[in-house]
Amino acid sequence: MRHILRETLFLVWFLAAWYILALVVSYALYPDYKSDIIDTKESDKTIFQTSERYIIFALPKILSSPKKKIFFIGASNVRDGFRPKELQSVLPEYEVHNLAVSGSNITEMHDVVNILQLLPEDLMKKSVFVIGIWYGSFVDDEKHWGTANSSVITEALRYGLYRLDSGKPKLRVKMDYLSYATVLLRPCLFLQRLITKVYVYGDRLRTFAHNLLRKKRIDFSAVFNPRRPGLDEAYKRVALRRWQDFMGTKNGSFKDEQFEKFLDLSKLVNKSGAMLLIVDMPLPEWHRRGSPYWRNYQKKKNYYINEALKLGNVRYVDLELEIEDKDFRDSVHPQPEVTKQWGILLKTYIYQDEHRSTTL
Amino acid sequence: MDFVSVRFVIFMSFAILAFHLCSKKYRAKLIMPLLNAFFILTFVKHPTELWPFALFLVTGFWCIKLMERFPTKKNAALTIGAILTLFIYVKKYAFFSIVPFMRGVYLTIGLSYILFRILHILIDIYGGAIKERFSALTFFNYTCMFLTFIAGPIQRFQEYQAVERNLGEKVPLKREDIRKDLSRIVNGYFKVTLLSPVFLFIFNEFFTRIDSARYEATSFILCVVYTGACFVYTLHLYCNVSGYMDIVVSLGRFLGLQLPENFNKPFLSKSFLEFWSRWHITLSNWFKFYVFNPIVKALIQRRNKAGLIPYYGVIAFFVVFFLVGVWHGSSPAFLIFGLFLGFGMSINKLYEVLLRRRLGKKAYARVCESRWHRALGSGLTYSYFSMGATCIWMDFDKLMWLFRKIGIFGLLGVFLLGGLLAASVIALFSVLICWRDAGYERLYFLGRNLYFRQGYLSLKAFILLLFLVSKSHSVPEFIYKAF
Repeated sequence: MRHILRETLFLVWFLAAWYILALVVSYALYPDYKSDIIDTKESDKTIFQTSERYIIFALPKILSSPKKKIFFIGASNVRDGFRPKELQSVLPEYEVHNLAVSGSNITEMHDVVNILQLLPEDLMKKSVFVIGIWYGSFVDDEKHWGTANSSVITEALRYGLYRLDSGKPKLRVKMDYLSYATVLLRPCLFLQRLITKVYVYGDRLRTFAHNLLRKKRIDFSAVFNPRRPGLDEAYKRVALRRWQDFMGTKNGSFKDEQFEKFLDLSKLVNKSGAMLLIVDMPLPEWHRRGSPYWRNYQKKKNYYINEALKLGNVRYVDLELEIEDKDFRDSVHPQPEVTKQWGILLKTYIYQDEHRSTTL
Repeated sequence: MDFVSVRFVIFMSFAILAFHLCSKKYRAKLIMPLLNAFFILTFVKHPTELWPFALFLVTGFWCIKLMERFPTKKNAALTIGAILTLFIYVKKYAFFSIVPFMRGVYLTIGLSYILFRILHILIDIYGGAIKERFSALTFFNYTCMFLTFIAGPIQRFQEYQAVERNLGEKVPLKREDIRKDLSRIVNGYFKVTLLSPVFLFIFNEFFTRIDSARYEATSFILCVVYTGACFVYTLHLYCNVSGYMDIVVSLGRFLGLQLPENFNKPFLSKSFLEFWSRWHITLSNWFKFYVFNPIVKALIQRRNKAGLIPYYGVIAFFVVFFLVGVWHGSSPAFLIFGLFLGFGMSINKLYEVLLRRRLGKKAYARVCESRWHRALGSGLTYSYFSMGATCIWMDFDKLMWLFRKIGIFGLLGVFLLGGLLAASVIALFSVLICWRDAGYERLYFLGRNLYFRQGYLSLKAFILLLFLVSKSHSVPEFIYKAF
């Protein structure tokens, strides 16, 4: 027995040494990202690597200054369309955080809002939530996540720092200790980065093998990264087909599920005392014209947005028709040069003195 | 209780402490049954899930008691028949789907292994190999020992008895042994939680391609993809089951329990016959003792002619490995598995008999030891086994579709391609091992250095812990748990 204990302790002692070494290496390769704001587009520069992990672990950053906050929540078009650094100069009284997660549907946005609810109540009351929606945000959970949780929740539960309480993420540790827990988990986060790299190479290998066997090249970049100047007709066709695959329903139809969740989300923000600005995200004209989802979405959204606006402290802005096609770099994302202009368009809505609801 | 869980680590720590701190007279009579019972209870959510399992155990015990008192041939047949019938009923074998099986969810984990242990006791009591009387506690400890409960190894009662007697003695553990066992536990977990999932991940890539190939792929592509799937799945299977055995056998030593080994570098086997003496050794031994030997004996009794005796082996191997295959699962796919294994063993035995007769003993041995024969033998053995293992990962309908799609020539192609691939990999692996050993020779001073060894071991353990804490992938279940 004495020998077992001695050998186990010896092993534990060495494990501790490896842990310290891994911690040091993680700091050497990925030092703490110096920024007071959370911008998920920058997540790759941090040890967290993904938007989800960045939101979950960097939450205490939001508490670092007493300024009023604006949280941008949505999918990648919100992440790319509203750049915090540009908006900071347009909205100087506010501290702008972009918490958009690529490929989010309303459920995931709801989860992000739930995580933000863990912040102090008084902070919530002086905050603005900007939720960017478009028809792709309303893809139903079964199609998007299958039986799994949203990626934000999956990441939150991964290391055991969060738990689910009636479907809502709650911290297991105090918010003050979250930064320390993050430091402790650095070796694991470092490992996750390495694994992701392996997956990327694995994916390349798989694509290579696939193309080798089938002789038919797969254009994985069809929607998200066209890698070609201008958007020709062939690209547009492929993009529209890919969005149809993404939505998964026939004839451009929608289930009520995500719209109901959208209403819940509006109520949740409203209950916290924060202001909610719903932004209908713009799409290029050819995308709107060619997608049966866009047309059905226009019909369906009105009821729910009107219901949300009845809550008070909720505003709505439709950017859909205000942006020209040339401002898009693909089927949904803006050109980098125009993002500041998008932010200026929002300014008037955020600065309205009276929190007046407007109906559609 | 999952072996890869914090719960198990706590449970095992408690078990080791209890074993070493408790008075020796309580180890077998109190600590062991309590640990076994607790371990089994962790698999059920409600006590009602336990009763078919308990019924099986009680029936087994009463059959043994009956055999102890009246060890007649009639009683042996009756008790063996009863226990087998109950087993088939409780396990809901699909071949007997006309029988109205029990409904609902209940515990069936470990039942196959318990069956082997009970049958072995019944046969040995009848044969006179076991003479002493059984207590219910000894029976429970033997059939349901928590370390071997899920997936074996199948220890013979005579060996177990010696182990149980030693439980009363002070557990003799040397520091160097503990170091080796700790290292083996880490290696076992490394195989189970890291290597096995990696191979499973790659296998899934192939499997999805096979699935999608239903509609588009040509037979040639399908053969290539199927070869890949077979090759990788066998690696996954090996890492999964041998890793589990590494953990179990080493943990057993911490408690002073000597458990039999179940794997001995099976992929270095030169033939399919040898493979089964290196893969799932305790299962093969069980079948050798209780099925193979009696069949050969019966055939010899029927017609005792020296020239025929080697051919009896061909028949007995077919029967034994048909049963081994069927034992692996309750779906019709396992009938095919059984036929496939039986066919492979018989053909291999026949080849051995005919070649030996033709070349003579010495020349045959020379051929077998030749480098090419060894390489080809190990490659084709791997390939054949991995093709057989398809029955574990593919259901009957899909299996039939695959056979129809690629045909007999396709199967042959997969066998040869897989054999070539396996032979190359095994040869490469052997070269790497030679290089490693040569390197070790040169770096022997490092290998002898305690800190270096501990550093290497702890690095593996550290990587393992990082993966487990990160939950970067789901750890696959122990495959043999389902059998």
